[in-house]
Amino acid sequence: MLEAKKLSKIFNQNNKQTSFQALDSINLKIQPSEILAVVGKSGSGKSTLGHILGCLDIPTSGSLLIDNQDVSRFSSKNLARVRRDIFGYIFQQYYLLSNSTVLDNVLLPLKISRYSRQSRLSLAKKAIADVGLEDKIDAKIQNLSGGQKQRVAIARAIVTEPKVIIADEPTGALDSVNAANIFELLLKLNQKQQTSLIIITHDQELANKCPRKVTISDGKLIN
Amino acid sequence: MTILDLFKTANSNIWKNKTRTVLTLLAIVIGVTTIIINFSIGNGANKYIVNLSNSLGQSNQLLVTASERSAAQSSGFGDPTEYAGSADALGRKLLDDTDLEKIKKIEEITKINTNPVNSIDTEYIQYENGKKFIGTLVDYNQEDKEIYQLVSGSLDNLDKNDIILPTSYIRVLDIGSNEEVINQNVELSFKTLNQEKLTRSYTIKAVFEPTIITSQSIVLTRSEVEDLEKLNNPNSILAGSYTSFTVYFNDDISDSELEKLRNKISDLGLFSITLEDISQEVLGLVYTLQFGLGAFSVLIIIASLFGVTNTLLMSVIERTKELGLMKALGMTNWQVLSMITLESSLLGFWGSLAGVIVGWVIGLVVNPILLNGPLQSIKDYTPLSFSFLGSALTILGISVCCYIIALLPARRAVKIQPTQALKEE
Repeated sequence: MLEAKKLSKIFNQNNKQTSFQALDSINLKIQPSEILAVVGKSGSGKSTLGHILGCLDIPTSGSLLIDNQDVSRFSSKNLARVRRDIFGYIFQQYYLLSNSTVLDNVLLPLKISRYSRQSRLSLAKKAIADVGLEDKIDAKIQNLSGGQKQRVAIARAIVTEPKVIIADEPTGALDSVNAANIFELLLKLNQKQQTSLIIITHDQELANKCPRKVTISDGKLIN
Repeated sequence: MTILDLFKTANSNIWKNKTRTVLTLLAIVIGVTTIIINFSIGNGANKYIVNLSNSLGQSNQLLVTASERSAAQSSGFGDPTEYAGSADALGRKLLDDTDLEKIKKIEEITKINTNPVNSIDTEYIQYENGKKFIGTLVDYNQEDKEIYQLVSGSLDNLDKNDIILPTSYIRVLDIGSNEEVINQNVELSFKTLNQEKLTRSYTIKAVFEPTIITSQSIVLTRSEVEDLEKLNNPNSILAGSYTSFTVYFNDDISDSELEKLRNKISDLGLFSITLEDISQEVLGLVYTLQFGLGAFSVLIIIASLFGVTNTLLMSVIERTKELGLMKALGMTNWQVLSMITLESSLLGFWGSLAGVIVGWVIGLVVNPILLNGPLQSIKDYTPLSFSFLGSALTILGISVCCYIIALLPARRAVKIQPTQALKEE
């Protein structure tokens, strides 16, 4: 359902001195409900690939097909629509609204997606229950632990039941116990919601737990 | 995101940094409060003058003068009037018997009252051996009855020794209540052109509320004023001179017929003034003062709008990550732009609403103080009179201005890319 064809990304393309090729002719296919780990060292281009696969950024050349439709040249408005309807994102630094409650954070994508008022609350409560934070629903984010914050981020990513979840270093800021728990949770949600899961990580151990793994180095896929 | 969600989100965003928002709002509140008070003063004056004109109902008389008399001139504005051989103490051209003969020939005019030059000065008015107060003398004609808003006594069958006084004199002379003073005697002292002094006693027959038309005048009968005039040197250059004529015409005259009548007076080289003209002149002065005050208010508002822009720019910079996240979650550029401009409009709305409320409260406090103090002699007058339409338009105007000035910070917010925002720490 998601296919990258000769994807390249060059930053500062107009300035030869500072121009930098982050991705070089990436070809990659991801099937529905597939779990894929993208591994690579720091600066290898794995996060850039994640951003382009998740339509957070556009490639310099090449194309990104979603259900055989090239979205890489979509207008900013249509790209926003694709992000809203197709993808869920989980980030290493969580990127939650720290002054807001767990519920408000999980409600945010539902508000943007124009869900009805009645369905919003039930969907948000269900997602929060799925990540095991029912008792923290009204807690402020700033009062939660790192593991709890990442669970909120996961709840926010799954609440709209996206077709693809892109998790960029989802366990990078967590201790080993919390990291294992979060990974288990992601696997469980993948099975439950049949969501494709792209995990971007430098953690080989985490990547080895995934059914499929690709490695990126200097902007190129090497296996 | 629905419009309601955008409103709720924008409103909650502006209250995230309460101190900054309150300080920004304060400038708007001050500007709007001055605008509202300014409007209220003008509205109060307008209502008073319009009500007064309506209550007097003087649609059948004109004041004819030799030169263009205007409130602007008497207040020091406008061009000087050319000297025409004779003038009163204020330097105005005077009418004479030739003018009177010309006016009499106009067929639409049913009656003419001449207003001679007041060549006798009132020195003071006194009750028994109490304090003395200065005053301006005015003569009373039966036709003037309707312009006096009586609070006690009667204007019927007045005699030469009768006097009519405004409530302000009754109060300061300390004679008694407005009802008790009827048939009490006061003394008036005069000075002629020859600097001779004389004192006469008069009986109070009526008390009136002073208005912008009647002002704080001491009123004697026409025959008494004429007698007093005769005490002057008969060879005075002012004999046979008039400050104005009050001319009367039929009540049922149409606007076009009145215009024709005024043109006939104008063709004689004279000027005519209606009560409406005087009201408009006074209102013109009020509006001029309002314009000055309004200009200050607008400057304050402009300064506060810069404050709003600054607040929004800082807010956008601070919320780069949050805005990037929202775009990552699918918020469109249009929604981001709408949210930021709505935040600005809401700042304008809350600030101007608070300004209107503050102005209204000031009116509630100041009106009774003024009406029980320096303005107590003026009846049916609200110094600060609120206009709900004016207040609503002010709130709308400020909100729209805030919307427009938010386009700059909103454009900055729109340019934020999700990846750029999420990389920033």
